[in-house]
Formats: sequence, structure tokens, C-alpha cells
Amino acid sequence: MSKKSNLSRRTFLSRSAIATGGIISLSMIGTPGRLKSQDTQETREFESFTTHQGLTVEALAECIFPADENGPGATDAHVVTYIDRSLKTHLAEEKEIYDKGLVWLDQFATAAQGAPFVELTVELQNKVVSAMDRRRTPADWPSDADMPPRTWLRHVIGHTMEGMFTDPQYGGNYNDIGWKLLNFPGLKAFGYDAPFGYYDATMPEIEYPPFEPYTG
Amino acid sequence: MPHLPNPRIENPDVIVIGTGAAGGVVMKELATRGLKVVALEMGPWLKTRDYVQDELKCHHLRGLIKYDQPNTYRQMADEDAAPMYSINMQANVGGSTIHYTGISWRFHESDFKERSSFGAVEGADVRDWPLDYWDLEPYYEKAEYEIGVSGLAGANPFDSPRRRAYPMPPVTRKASGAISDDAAKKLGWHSYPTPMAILTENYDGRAKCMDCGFCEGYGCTMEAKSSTLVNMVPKAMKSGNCELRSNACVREITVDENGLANGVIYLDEKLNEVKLSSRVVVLCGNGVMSPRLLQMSQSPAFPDGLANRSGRVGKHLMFNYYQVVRAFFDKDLNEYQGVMDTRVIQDFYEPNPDKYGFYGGGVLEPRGDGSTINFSRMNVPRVLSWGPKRKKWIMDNWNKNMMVVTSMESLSQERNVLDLDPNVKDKWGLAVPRVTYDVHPNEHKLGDFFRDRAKELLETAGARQVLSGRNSVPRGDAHLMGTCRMGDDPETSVLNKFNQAHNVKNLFVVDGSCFVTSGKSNPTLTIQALAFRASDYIIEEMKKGTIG
Repeated sequence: MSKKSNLSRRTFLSRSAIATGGIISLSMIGTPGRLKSQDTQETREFESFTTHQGLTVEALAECIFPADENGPGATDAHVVTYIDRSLKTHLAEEKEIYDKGLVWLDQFATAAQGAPFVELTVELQNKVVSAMDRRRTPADWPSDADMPPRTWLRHVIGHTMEGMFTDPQYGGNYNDIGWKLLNFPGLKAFGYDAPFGYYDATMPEIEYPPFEPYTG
Repeated sequence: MPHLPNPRIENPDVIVIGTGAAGGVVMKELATRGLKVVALEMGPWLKTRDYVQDELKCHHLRGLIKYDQPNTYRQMADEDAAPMYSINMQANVGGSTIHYTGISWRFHESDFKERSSFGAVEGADVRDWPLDYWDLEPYYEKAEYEIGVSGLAGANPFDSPRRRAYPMPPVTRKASGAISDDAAKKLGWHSYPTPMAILTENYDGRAKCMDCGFCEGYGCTMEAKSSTLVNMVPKAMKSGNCELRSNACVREITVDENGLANGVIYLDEKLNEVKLSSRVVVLCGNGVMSPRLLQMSQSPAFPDGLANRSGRVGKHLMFNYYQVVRAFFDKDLNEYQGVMDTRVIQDFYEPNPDKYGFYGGGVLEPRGDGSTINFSRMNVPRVLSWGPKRKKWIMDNWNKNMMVVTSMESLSQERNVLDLDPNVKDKWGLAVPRVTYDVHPNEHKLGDFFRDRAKELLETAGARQVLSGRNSVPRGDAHLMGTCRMGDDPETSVLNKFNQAHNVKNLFVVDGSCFVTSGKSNPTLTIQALAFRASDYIIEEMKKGTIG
């Protein structure tokens, strides 16, 4: 299971982009659902995930936080790298949940849409995620699964958001992509000159009475 | 921080257990006034350089700063208690003053005399404190100057009188504070600068706050937050009279044949038992850890736990009931920098049961939220938690959101208990604290009232959308009070008005557990004023020879 990546991230990106047949652009890479997973099977290695698991999580994270006209998404921010690494460290307890859940996900995707999750189009992937997000467990969800799909999805959503907005040292929020979406400077801005926001600049300060010490 | 001496002291006059808000004060006061002190801290001695501006690490991982004392919780005594981390405390040198918000106001005169002022409450055990505001006033002042509190004296018309202004001006107003000012003015309320244990000027050898924004929930990387790690502990160590032993988890306070405390047994880093003797023991765990240690310290003289002849040790657990009302505005707030709170409203502080139909009161604390991970995962009605709409929602709202935290009184109830869990052990092999806690019906009425006031404030300020919270039952909190309450009567209280155990005169419990009522919010400055006061008393009594 433990495979040390010997490919640089740049290589990953280039190969993924080439595999899409498209131009190398970050937002283009955020559409793995259009790939056939076998196209990239040899090019991707992960620390915790198998290649198939990693590509599936990447596709699912991209559904959760997609690249679109508003900016880059989970794939661009290396969310899967964050989750993959974290399952060896602070999310180690979640490894089993991913191992089981990714099997359920593929069984469900196959039953509902005819193919493992990563092989579906983005449109069909979104349908799968929508079905998982319903309060009532869909009939096609594997009967031996010991977690409702909505609960499992919550784990992945939480980790996807962590991967989008974490300090980049943990592998996600690559190049501050998540923070830039918010105009959050992270650690770059230290201190400010008031007024700093709109309201403190426009709303007058209150005048307080002078202090009168109690002398009793 | 320069290298601090840490001399080996084998025969201390006083053992101080815990190095947080109160323990830091007590070790500094006693050591700098000539007593030999050993301070025992169950967690590590992290230094300022160990703290980082990292939301994931500090808020979401159990590591650097995250509730590191497991506990169990149940709502009612006939239920099984479930394991969790609901006690918001930090076990390391400086205790929870490392990660606290730093709000440092005084209780009002009325807080100490609620029973005689406002009467009894059915189903609750409201009592007067055995001391009053004026007993504490000089110590509030001492705490403000020694701890390093910024604020604007005279700005809050509801404050009780004070003899001296704050040592430095208040924190700079942020957008959330401006919104509070504007709306409060329109509503006829009073919005005033929050007193904060955060330096606004260089003070006492520490540099002023740089407004980095990684504040509540983080350890300060600038030493501008006035945690006891940076104000009290260094002074204690520089005196040469104090040894600080970290990773030393006390499992028992021992007693001699006369029923007096004579030392402690603690577990060191390798779980070896170490015995240490002293003339006086000062327990500064917090409102959960102190009663737990007393309960673990069983002996023939004290079969129900040390200093527990009243049976009150662990009873009357109180939090501050609170709610969060969040709002979204049209323009950027830029709340991701600066301190958490810059304004507060206390117009509804004083209890007025006849007028409001409920007992107690509370405060409105407008504050920002610069968290990115927490924010992105927030439950929002009618917004999916995933997909392009969630993404757009995060992008559109993150820099336009603020909260009003309403912090309120929790009533003292005998059924709210902290005791030893019979089934769950912690990493030291000791029983974890078990919390049995249910709210008093009054708290729901308070919650409804204050939620409405918070909505009123935010809507008056022109919020585009207000998300109100709802009443719930807290399973734990950061404000931990009431479990060794003070009183004049040894039959119904654990401590006297100097935090001295009624049953064990050389044992003191100095922290939130001594509180008789919860106040309305943020107990730390009151804990610290009590710690300065108890320290004076301990020194006087040891000089007189009545203890130790």
C-alpha cells in the first residue's frame, strides 16, 4: 500500500493534462470525470491510496469543490494529496473509512449509473453524489455498508474543505489556491492600519464619558 | 523568552498544582515573596516558539492546541456517559490562557449577591458569595496591571465602580465593533470597548499586539496575549524560588494522620510515581480537574474524596450558557485580522425577573470569524454542503460574516455533577472526568431572549442575512465553575472565602471551581483576582503560623 511517489507534482499535472488531450491549464485538470481511469493508472502513485482510490477521491473532491467560472477547484488545490498524506498522519483513524467507503461508492455508482465512480462523466458523478446526499439512503447503496452514504460523504466533504483551505504545508491549498479564492492573505499580512474593513471605516466612533475614579 | 532558571527544589513550602490562569498567578506571587514553590503541570512546557498560526493544527487536530483531556458526558444521571472531548481546556504551562480569547472583565457588584438581591429560583441553588465586589476590587486592579489588560475605564455605564483606569488603551475597533456601535446607538444600547488581556502598548517587557488574527484558539506567537506562560511563569522562575515540573500529572493529594495535606503523588512522563511533600498545597486545576483530583484523593479520613465532608465536591457544575448568531453583510469586514472581540454590550446584564420573566442576564459579544476551514464546512440552511453553489457561497460570504456570541448565566444545580467515570481511563490510567449536565429551564428563556437581541442588533446594522442558533444542552465548555464552591457554611460549601478548604486548612483550591454563581461570561479575570487575593492570604497565614 505504501508507495512513495517518485513523480513530481509538475509531472502529475502535465501528464494529467496531456491525458485529457487538452492544454495544460489548472482549471482544465479539474475535470477527471471525463477521463477513463485506465488512461492515468500508471501515472499516479499515492502514499496511502491505491491509484484507483486516489483517482476516485480526486474526482469526488472535484465534485465537492469544482473548478468553474469562479475559479480553480479541489484538483488544482491538490486536495487529494492532502487527504492521501493525512491518512498517514492526523487522519490515520479515517483510513479504514476511506477503504470501505470507496468500495461502497464504486458499488453504488456501478449499480446506479453503470460504472465505477471515476469512470463516469462529471454529470453522472454529480448525480451519484446528489443521491448520496439525500437524507434517505438510496436503495442501491450496498446493503453491507455500515455507514449511510450521507455520513460517509460528510467525512470526505470535511477533508476536502481542509484540503482547500489548510496551511499549504499539509499538501493541500497548493500555491494558496484556496486562500486566493477568498482573498485571504494567510500569513503574508501581519498587522493592518485601522480602519481595515468597510464598516469600521464608515461608521463613526462613539464618544465615551471620561473616567471618574471611585475614591471611596 | 530568555532562558529561565529552574532550580531543583526537593522540600518546597508550597506545591502548586496546575500552571494556568490561577496557578500561574499563585506560583508567581508565592515564589517572588520568598516561599519555595514546586509547580506541577500535567502537560508539557511549550514555549512561545512552539505556537503556530495554523488553523488545521490548532483547531482541528488534537495536538498543539485541542481539548486534550478526554471526558465522558451524559445529560441525566440515569444515562450511560459517552466518551468525548467536550471540556475545552488545554493542559500545558499557561493552561487555557494560551488559547483563550482574552476577554477580561470584572464581575459586577450584583454577581456576588444574587440571592439577596433577586431571590431564589426554583430548581436551582442560587446563593450569595461569601465575599463581595469590594473585597475583590483591589485584586481586580492588581490583576489588570500584573496580567496586562487593555480597556477603557468609564466606557461601560453598567460596570461597577473602579478606583483605577486600565493600564493601557483598548483594542482597536474592527468592523464587527463598528457594526455593534452603530446598531447599539440606534437601539439605545451601549456598545463599549472589550477589556482584553491583549497588549495594545509595549508593556512589562512584552511587545504590543500585531493584529495577526490567529488569536482565539491559538497560542500567541508575539507574546502580546497576556497568558500566564508569558507574564506570571517567567517572574516565578526568575525569583529562583520556583521549580516547574512539567508532564507531571498529580493523581493524589496525600494527608497525614491529622487530616492535613502533606504532599502529592504524581506520575512523571514515564508514568513513574513520584512523591513530593510540602507544608501547603494549592490546587489550581480548573473547575473540572480540581474536583476530580480531590475525588481521586481518598483516604480513611476522607473516604468520599479530600475536603469533601460537605459532599459538594464536584456538584453544582456551571458553564456559561451561550449561543452564536451569525450574520452576513454586503461589504467586506476583513475580520480575519485583529483580536476576536473589540466591542461588547451589557445592557441586559443585571437580572430583572419581574421585567423579563426569567432569571439572570448576559452579554452580547459581536466578533469576527476569520477561520477558513471551519467556515467552509459550516451548516447553512438551504445551501448544499458541496458543489458549485457551496463554493460560491463560501467565496461570497467568508469575508462578510460576523457573529454575535451571547454569553449568559448558568444556574447552580445540585444535579449537575463532575465525578470519576467508572469505565473510561485516560493515558495516565486515571479515571476520566464524567460530566452530568442538563440546563435549567431558565436557560432556555435566557437563550430565546438573547438570541432575539442578537438578531435585533445585526438586523439594525443592516445585515443581509441572519442565521440564528437554537437552544441546546452544552456537554462541556471552557468556562468551568462551581464544583468546589466557597461559602461560610462548611456543611454546604467546600471552601471558605479565601479559597481555603473548610476541612483541610493547608489546602487551597484556586480556580473557577470556587464560584458560587457563574456570572454572565468570561470568568478568567475574576479567577485571577481571586488567585492574587488567596496568595496574599496564604502568605499571611504561613507567616502567622496558622497553616503549614
